[in-house]
Amino acid sequence: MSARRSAGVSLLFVLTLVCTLGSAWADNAKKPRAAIERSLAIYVPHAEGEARIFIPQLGTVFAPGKAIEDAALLVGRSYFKSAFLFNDRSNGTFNLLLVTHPKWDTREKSSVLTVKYKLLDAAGATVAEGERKNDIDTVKLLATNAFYAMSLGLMRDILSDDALTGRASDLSLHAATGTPAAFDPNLLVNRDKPVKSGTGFFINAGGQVMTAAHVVHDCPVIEVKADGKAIPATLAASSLLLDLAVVDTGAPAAHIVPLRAGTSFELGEAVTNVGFPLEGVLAASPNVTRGNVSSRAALAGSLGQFQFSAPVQPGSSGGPVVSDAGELLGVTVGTLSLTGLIQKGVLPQNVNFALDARHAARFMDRNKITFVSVPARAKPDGKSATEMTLPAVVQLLCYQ
Amino acid sequence: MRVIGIVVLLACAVGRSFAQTPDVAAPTAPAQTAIAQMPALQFGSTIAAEEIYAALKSTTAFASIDREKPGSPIMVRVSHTYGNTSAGMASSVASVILSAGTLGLLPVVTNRDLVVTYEVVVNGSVVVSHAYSKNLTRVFNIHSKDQTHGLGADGLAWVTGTAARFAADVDHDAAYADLQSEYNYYYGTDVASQVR
Repeated sequence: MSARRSAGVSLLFVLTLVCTLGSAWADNAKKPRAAIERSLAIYVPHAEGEARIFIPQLGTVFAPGKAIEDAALLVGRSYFKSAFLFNDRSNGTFNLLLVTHPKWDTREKSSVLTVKYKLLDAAGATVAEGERKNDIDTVKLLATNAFYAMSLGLMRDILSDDALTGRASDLSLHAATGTPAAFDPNLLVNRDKPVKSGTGFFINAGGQVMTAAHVVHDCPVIEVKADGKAIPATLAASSLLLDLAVVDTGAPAAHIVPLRAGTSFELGEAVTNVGFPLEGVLAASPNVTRGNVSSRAALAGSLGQFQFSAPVQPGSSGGPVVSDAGELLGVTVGTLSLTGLIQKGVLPQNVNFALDARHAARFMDRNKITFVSVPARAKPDGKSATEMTLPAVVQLLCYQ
Repeated sequence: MRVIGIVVLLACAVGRSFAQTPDVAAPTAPAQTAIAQMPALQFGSTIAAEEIYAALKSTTAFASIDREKPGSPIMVRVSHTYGNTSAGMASSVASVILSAGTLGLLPVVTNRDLVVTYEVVVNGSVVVSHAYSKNLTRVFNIHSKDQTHGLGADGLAWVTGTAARFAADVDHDAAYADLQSEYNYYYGTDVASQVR
């Protein structure tokens, strides 16, 4: 019993010591002796910042990306005069920009956080760059704040690096300021691999491409792949509510997909879907699938969508759903999630959803985007829907 | 025990800074004089889901939330995280040890920072976010049956009350006003005649 008591007392002593040291460290981190007289912007890829992990057994959400953002901000404000997160909603000015590309590699026993980083000046010149990593037992990773603690340690290692602080604190350099809106997005992103991909199609001769909004949302760099060429594109208009977007390529388009004007579709009408699914798995060649309009409505509560049976895969989003005459009836926006249904012993087949093209027309009216609409017509002789549509369909890649 | 020690180390080191994480700032808009019509909104919560759902449903802004509409493009998502104050963590662990050592005769005292985050998510993207935090001290007996999701009566009341705060904050949120305006443009009552 006395041994247990002694162990308890020892534990309390250690806890008190640890917390005192922890508090002192936290205070020290907040009040550095000499902050660098420069404003720092911090870029964390959106896909990382938004990542959430919900562990039902613990009833808690873990946000590893937000932990990195919070840690980077705290440490950035400790070492620099000011710091803010770089995104399209931030309107601050910066002298230096820390571009980070964090990656969590979670295995059964051990998890590793790797952060590649680059410190740029306002003109985009590299001031310092490198890579830091740290690991932790996976079981400990789920402890409250462990994601944050790991991130805090790594960001502190990065921003306290002697070479980095030495160059950043040279007051004869880096006086120029930049803004997120004016900065070259190509200097932010990792071009090794797109974070997501989708499908689109030309809707006018001016080279504007329609796709699903979730394909291009929060993408600093968008690339359109057409006829084997990669064309840089910029966002022209977007609606998260409709899940619809249009990007500008600036390249004239010889083929477009016209909208069916005036009327809706017939229930059971045959449709063709063109897409570039499973980027990185399948060769970059369009997939054409056939089916029919299965229902005028989609899931309960959905808005403006219909259901069709032509098979789709990840990467098909944004692709056109056309009639046999090649008229646009809808834009592919999703499929039925199978996870929950399979657990119930149900395996639904080819339950896919498209946004009704009539809403696409209203979207383009609202955003003053030119498009072509044609009256419903019979299937033209000699040409299939595939032949008419395929040349107008492109792949979209998003880099962060 | 070694694991607990490491967890404490991590929690203490970051606890104080976490506790001072400010509420998420959002662009403001003039208060809505009349709440625009909105469609059925999906709802999900990691904490006190029934209580928050009922509280939100009772507000004018979120009267249309409906858990039976999985296809709705708009979702109100509520999540929570805990932070730990340095002193709070030490006292909590000590309290657990003392309580266990007395076979539950002494109550457990815990002290944590609870952050409840409300998000309006449109087709998977967050467009509105408001976070509310409170330092919660709770006294409970390890043998008692908890009906408050581990929050204590006061904690549960505070969490439920964040629903009304969120509804009020959304009324001044420019991004939410834009969403309402967009919804009315595409799906408002007179849209049927405009769809060509």
